[in-house]
Amino acid sequence: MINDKIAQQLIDYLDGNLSENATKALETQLATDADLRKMLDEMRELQANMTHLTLEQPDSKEMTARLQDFIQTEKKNISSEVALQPNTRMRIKEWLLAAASVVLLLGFGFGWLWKNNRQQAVQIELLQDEMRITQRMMVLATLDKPSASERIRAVNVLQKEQADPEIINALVQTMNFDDMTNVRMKATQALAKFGNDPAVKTALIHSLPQQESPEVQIAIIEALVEIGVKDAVPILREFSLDQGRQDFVRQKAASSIQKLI
Amino acid sequence: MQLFSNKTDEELMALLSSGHLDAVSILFKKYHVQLFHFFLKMGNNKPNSEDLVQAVFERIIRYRHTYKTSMTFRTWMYQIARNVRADDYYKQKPEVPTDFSVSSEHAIADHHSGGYDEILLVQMEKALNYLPSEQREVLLLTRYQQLKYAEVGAILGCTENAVKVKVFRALEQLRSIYFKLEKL
Repeated sequence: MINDKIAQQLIDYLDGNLSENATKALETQLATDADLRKMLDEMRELQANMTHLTLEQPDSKEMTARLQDFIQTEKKNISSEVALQPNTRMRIKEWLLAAASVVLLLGFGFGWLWKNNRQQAVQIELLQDEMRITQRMMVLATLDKPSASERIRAVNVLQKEQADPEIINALVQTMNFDDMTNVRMKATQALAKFGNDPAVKTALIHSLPQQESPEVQIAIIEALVEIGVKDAVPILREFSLDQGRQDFVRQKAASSIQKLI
Repeated sequence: MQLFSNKTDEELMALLSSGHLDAVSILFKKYHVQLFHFFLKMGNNKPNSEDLVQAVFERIIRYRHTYKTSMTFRTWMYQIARNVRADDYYKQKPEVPTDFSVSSEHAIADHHSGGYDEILLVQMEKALNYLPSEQREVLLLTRYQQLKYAEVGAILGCTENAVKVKVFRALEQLRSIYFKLEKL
């Protein structure tokens, strides 16, 4: 049995990559070792034969046509996203208008209330709270809109808010159930910003095995590392050993374990 | 197509990731035959090999955002190809013979009308088919597809030297099978 080191050298020799000195030493050995010489000659012959194998040719025309069909379908998916944008712009204008009206009304309200007593100051606070609640409800409602770009925008707004169960729950639902991969990824990244909340850690761990998209799996693994969720090590270990997963997901899981432990 | 001319594979991937989906057509044109032969030699039949190539390029399009320039496009493509093949394996197990003492006789006899070289190539084909899948794969990647040892190492998740050892062991095994077939 030829050991691994010699095996590497013999491959380098067959490839013509062995150093001059090592080649001389090997050729001296070959001059007296007929078995080794025969083996290398035969291996050389086999390698040469391999490059002469005749092969069937694919139906390139039909395959190219199939790929073009797929590209066109993908393009339609992208353009349907883009097509929703003018509508989105209109909605944004409506929102801005509504927000401006609320601010104007609030301004009048402030002016009027300023003249009144402390009881009215409490009313101002109530009004402000109400406005914040209305804004938040509008943003949360946007997570159910049909346009992915609107939903992503809503996630962006939510991640700047203070953490509270309602926001975290909305983001978790989006991470778990949104139809679009990029929205689920965005929600995952937003959740990482609320990593101090134990509910976020649990939700990320539970979500990981449920996700089918490797892109979202990667986003979740990155979030778990960013937050430093040591409890995720067992599930990451499971992922790193699961041959059914994509190679890059397994590698990501394996390298993340190193960062967590 | 002007946008895509004279671009490296990695530059084409960058264009693909940024939404220029037609960039994949250039990569397909360059690699589809090579990939088809890889699947074919790994034991898949022609229609199945064509389907697997299609699946590889669909994944390249779908997961274009996950491509990292730290590895060559070719390495990434073969990683996807191995995953696609593994996924397909459970659906459709390729018919690779395990006992060459009988079937190879027929295979060679069938080709006796051909010239000497043709017989040798059929023998070579048979010997390759009898190799364990992992050994056949490493020989195909390094000897047939002419990938560098470092690239194959990145695909298989091992070092360059480990690939050389795998190639040597595979050649040893191939040699043993090939010359056994010759004696039949």
